[in-house]
Amino acid sequence: MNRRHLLLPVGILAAGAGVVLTLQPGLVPGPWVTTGFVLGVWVVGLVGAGVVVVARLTDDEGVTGRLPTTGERPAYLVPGDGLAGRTAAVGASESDAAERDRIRDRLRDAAVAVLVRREGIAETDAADRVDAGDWTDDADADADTAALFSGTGSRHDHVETGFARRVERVADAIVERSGSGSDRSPDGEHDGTDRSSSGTGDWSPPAAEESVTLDLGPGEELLERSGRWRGVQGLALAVTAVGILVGAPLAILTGVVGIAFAAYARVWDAPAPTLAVERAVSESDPRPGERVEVTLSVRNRGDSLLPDVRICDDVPAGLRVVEGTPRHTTALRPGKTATISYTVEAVRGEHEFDSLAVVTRDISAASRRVARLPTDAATVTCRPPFGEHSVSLGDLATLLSGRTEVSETGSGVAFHSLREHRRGDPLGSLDWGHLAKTGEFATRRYDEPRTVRVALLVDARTAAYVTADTRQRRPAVDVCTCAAGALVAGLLDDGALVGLGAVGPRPCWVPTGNGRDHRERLLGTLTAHEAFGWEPPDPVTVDDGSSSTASSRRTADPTARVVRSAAASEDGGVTMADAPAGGRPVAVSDGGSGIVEDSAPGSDGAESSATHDDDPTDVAKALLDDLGTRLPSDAQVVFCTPLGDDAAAAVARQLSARGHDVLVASPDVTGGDTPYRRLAGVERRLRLDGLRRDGVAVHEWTPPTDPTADAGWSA
Amino acid sequence: MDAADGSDGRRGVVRVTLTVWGEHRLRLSHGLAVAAALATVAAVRVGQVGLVAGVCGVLLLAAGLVWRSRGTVALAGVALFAATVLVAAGPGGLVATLVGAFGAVLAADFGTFALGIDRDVDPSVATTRVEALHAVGSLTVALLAGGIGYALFRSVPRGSTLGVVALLFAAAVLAAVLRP
Repeated sequence: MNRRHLLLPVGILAAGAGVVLTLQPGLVPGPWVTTGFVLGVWVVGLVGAGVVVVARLTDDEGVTGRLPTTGERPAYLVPGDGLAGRTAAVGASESDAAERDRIRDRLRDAAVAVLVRREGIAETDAADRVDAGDWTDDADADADTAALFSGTGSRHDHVETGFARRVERVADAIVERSGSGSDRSPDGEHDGTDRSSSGTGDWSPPAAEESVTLDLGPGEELLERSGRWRGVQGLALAVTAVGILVGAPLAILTGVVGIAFAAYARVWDAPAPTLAVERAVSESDPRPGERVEVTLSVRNRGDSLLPDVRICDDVPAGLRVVEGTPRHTTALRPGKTATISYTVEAVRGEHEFDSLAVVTRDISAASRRVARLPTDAATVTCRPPFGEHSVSLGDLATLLSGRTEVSETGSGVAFHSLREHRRGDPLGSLDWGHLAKTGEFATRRYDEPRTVRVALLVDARTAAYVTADTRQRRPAVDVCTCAAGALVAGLLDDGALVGLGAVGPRPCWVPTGNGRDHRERLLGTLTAHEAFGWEPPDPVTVDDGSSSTASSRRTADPTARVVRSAAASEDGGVTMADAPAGGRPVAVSDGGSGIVEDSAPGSDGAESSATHDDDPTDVAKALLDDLGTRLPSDAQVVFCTPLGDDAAAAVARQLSARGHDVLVASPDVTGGDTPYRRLAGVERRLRLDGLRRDGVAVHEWTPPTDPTADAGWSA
Repeated sequence: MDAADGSDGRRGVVRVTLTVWGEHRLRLSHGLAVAAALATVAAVRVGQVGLVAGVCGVLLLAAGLVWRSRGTVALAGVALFAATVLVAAGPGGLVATLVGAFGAVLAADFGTFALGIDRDVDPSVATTRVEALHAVGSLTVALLAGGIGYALFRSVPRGSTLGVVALLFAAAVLAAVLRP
């Protein structure tokens, strides 16, 4: 028997007593019964009043009833924002000492590397100078460095104060010492990146807008109370109690109001969304930048009025709504139709429209039904004109120049050598001259004609979902994909055998080949494969209670999650600064708004269960575990990556160590308007230099931030 | 900002003028919420303390609508309701009490509904029909309950406070439990 079953007879008895006592006031029992009953109601009323105030002041009607945000590209982070978020979130207490040490180590590694590079001294000497605070020309910076790395004057009783301020100053010192400060103005003018953030280092999320997602599959729905009238009974009883206390019958009468609306809120349930939805798109294969109008016709096919229908079309990730809105609210009588129209700007990808989110409410708005309805599918495929911007072999590093000489013998025409004749050798391969001279049979061997095999690998890890411009929101993955597309066209034109793969958790591999069909296959893969999509890949996280990734803090809330801003989590992932417990992690987000973190050296911060302590080489080996076996042993590799973390550089080294000639093609998507972003730029340059030192060819360029543009590759 | 959807001379096309308030549209429910709050203030004007509380409620409501804060709008409803109770306990009459009480609840109801609409859809979307339906429903409940309360108050013999309390208590309990 539940609480309701217990309360029901109480209510019936009270109602009966009330009627009797109202009609026959002479039956009122003794004063002690009256006083006790009134005091009881008074107590209940006061508690109810408290519930009213607390509930109404804190209630935001939940998040489940809210329409999901849509029509905007995921809010990718700029490299460096992750460290900024981690630094902003870390506390001064002993409990955060480990995280502070990780941040400290990252800065120290960067400072030492910069010093080694600039002055050509040994690493140990550089480390000593950094630790001693004797590595810049700025006394203040040296003092901050010493305080940060040695803790001088900043740690008292296990509490470290001023950590974030020192981190920012040391980051600036590293940038200055690296020589990058001169070509990177604090307001980011050099690269045209987002200048909205302050240059003070007071980190703020790049995308402060609130985003809500709806975790319901097509055809699923959920009925729930909105909590809108929560506590109204308590308000009624409280007022009644006050009326009794002051002996004012009129005040008691006001309790009727609360009771009336409490009952009103419980009369109906939200109606089922009996909607028939038709969809049309104005263009199914637009070019990048072209506008596509999407029209939805929503008809009430049920028999009852839908007094409050809120609709939000599921706009595929990557598409930005530039005109109109995919969100609509209306009331629909049976058989009536509402039409919604909006326009999106096409970008690379195969975008499928196949569902929409619906929230229906009853007329009192006390209950709501949240659903995701399947609709007519419409696919918009936007394939960039990769061939118009092809990059030929000659434009690349020399290691990819033309055909290669090989020691293999085969069916070519160039003479290679002689060997003894074996039974079964074709008669035509006999060397009659050798037979005449020596009297022995010999078989001629020819060179095996072999074309260059090139494997194009695109960094599609979560760590590659970073952008240089938080307004345009073009992730590095898109730049790398477009760059790979340009290479496909150029390499195939030059006669190479070209393959394609994705380095990341979403497997993608197209074996090497050539020809028209293969070209279409490669370009189609670059256009439509989910590995190169606009959403970061889902992470594999360990929910062990210790991880601070947002995904590890999910709750049982199955429907919607609200995300206001992203901040880096301790482990290089991202946590939501203002998300409810379980707020969807964007960085690692189940298809959410896609904010990603640049990771600390040594941590991938990406897929897999990588943590801070994961060695980048181990991460790289894991990433190449499957892909590496598919690569032809003689394939040259072009690895397109923003080099946002050490794992990307480790992948290039691993490929080189496995005998491949490697070219790293790296678009620069770093920003320059905060100390952290500038530091991320320096770290990227250090990785590039390290690769060059290790004999890996590197090609870098600054890509356009407009996602409708090509990769901007300039050899 | 005003934006016009012109008819261009076409038949059957109605010119619609949108009043956009900052980044948000001024909706029917905004106006209804303020009107309900003002009705409450008018009802409680007979008592000075109640009037002060009522004016505070109106200001809170306006602030809540501007700041888009549901909590502030709810607090405004509580303030308006408290003003009504204060007046009802003092110089207020029966009709003024009912108008004040229902006005307070309706102000909070319309205000929070408007904020919910603002949150869910863009300013360009016309939502008058949805808002009107919701307002009609709430007003109907208010009128019916007010009528019942009025009749109850007029018909009940004086001195039967305990009976009224018992009835309200029963109603509150039954409203809570008679719903799965």
